[in-house]
Amino acid sequence: MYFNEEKNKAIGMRFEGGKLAKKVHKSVEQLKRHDPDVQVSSEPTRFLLVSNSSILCGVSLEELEAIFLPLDKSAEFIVYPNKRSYSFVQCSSVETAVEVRNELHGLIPLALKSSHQPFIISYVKNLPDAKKCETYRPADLGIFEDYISTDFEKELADMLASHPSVKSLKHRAVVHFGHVFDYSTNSASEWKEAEPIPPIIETLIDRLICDKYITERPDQITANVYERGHGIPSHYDTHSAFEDPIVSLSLLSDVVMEFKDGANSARIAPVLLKARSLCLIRGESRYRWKHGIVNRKYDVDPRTNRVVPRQTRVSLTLRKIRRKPCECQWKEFCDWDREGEMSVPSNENLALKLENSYVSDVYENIASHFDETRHSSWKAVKEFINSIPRGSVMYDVGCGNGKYLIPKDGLLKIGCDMCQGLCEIASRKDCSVARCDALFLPFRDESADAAISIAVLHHIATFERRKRMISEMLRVVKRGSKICLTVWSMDQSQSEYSKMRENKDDIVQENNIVDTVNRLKVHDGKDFEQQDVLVPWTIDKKSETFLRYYHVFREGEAEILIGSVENCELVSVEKEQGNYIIIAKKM
Amino acid sequence: MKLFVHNFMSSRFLKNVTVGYPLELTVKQFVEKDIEFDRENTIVMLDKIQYEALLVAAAAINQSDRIPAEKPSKWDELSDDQLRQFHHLLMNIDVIDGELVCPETKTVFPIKDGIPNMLKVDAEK
Repeated sequence: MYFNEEKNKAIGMRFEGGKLAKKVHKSVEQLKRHDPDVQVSSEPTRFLLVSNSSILCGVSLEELEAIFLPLDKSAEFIVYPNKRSYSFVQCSSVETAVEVRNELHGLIPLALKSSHQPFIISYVKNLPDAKKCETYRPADLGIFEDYISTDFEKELADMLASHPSVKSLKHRAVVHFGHVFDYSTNSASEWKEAEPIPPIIETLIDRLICDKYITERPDQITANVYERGHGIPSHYDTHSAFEDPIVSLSLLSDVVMEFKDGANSARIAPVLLKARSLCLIRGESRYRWKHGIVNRKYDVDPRTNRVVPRQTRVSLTLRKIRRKPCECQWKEFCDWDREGEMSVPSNENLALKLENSYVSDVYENIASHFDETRHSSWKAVKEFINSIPRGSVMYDVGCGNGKYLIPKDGLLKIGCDMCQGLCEIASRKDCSVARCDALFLPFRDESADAAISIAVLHHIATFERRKRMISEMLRVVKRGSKICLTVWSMDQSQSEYSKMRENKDDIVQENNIVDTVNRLKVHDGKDFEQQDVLVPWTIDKKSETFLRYYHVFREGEAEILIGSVENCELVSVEKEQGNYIIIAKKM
Repeated sequence: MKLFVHNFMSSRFLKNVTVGYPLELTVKQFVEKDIEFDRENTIVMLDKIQYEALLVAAAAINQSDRIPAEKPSKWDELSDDQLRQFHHLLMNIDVIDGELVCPETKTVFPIKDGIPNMLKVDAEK
């Protein structure tokens, strides 16, 4: 938000005349840019374009309500969470719209808390078209509106509301049928039976089976009563606890449920669940995406941006208890180690398997996108290269797109990479490259004067193998030569990467039934929670996500690793933007 | 793959290989580029290379006659024309298609689109 002390205007002040006309012109220009389908009207209409009234301008919905509702108690709001500086207000009639505009046009309303910009109001003939399709919705999610009749809705709601065992749970009231849902483990035990499933819910289950939405009868039913303003934190329904799908029926009120990509918590898909709609959380939307409802009293319909006040809502969730561990295809997001496949590798074979699937294969898939995005060089690496005498031979182990091979710095450089796609890209840029494994370098003993390896070592999955990679680099350089390696640090607090991720969740909420210490975990937040992680690489254009394996280094770990390698002397370890730049010397 | 690269490559990383150098070279296709000659750079580079391997590479493209059979004693005593021959072999010849072969185990490493595939797993298949 732009803020200038000198230009600070008094709240309650009103703009008039030429200054106001200028602002109206600017406001209409902005409308044309963002919503060309909206027509400005010279005659009064019910619809008002209100500039300087959006969240982007520091104006909250509560402030809008406090300003407009006293003038028109049935005014409705169409608001935008970002990108626009205006909102639309739909008045109950043309007459009230005229009154509202007379009252507020050009005025810096007294109710504004942080904004000091005047409301600039124009009549418009129409509101923006509802989006034809939402920007993203998790794959496999099924929404079926008007799945039940209002009569059936009432019958269900009455049965639940009058239920004697409606217990108060932090934010919501809850009843279980069939089996008890245990909130400490987020699962249900076969042995802990709740009261029987009422006939009306059995009828619903019959219909779900008949409609082929489910094949087996759910045996754990949870009814939640949400008071206005209450929600539920973002969560996965535990993989191993319940089968696919999770069925959710909404009663009495619309609500927006937010789905968050487990591989990228900045990717949020708001989905409107209307009263009487059926929601099938299945496949990718069940296993990879988290879902939750924000605590607030209103929602913004993701299709129309219209503000919809919430009412008391009842949700009925139908689940089938899983009797054996989950075997979904989203194994990286699963709640157990999948018989070792998703564990931090403890031996050579598992390490190789992991590196093949989560490093080599991924780079083959992302090679060209990787090339488009990798250009800047690390300062400490540049300094290392500059320190090598002209005419020296330097190897670049894991040269990627060749960014350190390209500069003509008087060195004789040979790069190598395991990824065929990246070798081809570097080769097309006239770099000399060979395809090889970093642990088996195709060079003769003591043939180079220096070697670098940028962002490779952290893709090697065991300590033993990381040690071997360094030994192999030392084998091919002459005695007294230096090598330079960079790795990701566990502490990303100073990095560009963390700035990029500022809009992500700070704390990742996890409710797993299995101990996660030895399991690889998908990294979706700002801070690394463990050293062995799967880090998403997202190609936005295709909205494809690939997971790369990383072993991020702790403080002091580089020193221990280098210390364990024979004939190797540590020269320095520097930290640069969430990376360790390691320089070592062959003795 | 430029011929200077061949001069640094070895199959030493293979199991039971002690030296793995020089790699035998078969050239099915190569191109000749025109990289700018620089006397000083060429001499610096020649200081780094192994002469026996360069002879293997020159023979692989039937251009052994460009250079003497014995390693010259001092590079900086060579004329520009003589140095140009070395420069041509090492920097201008780019092998597009061919094979590198381990002299000890006879393991074959293919060169395709100018990129030698030295992956151990591929070689051991």
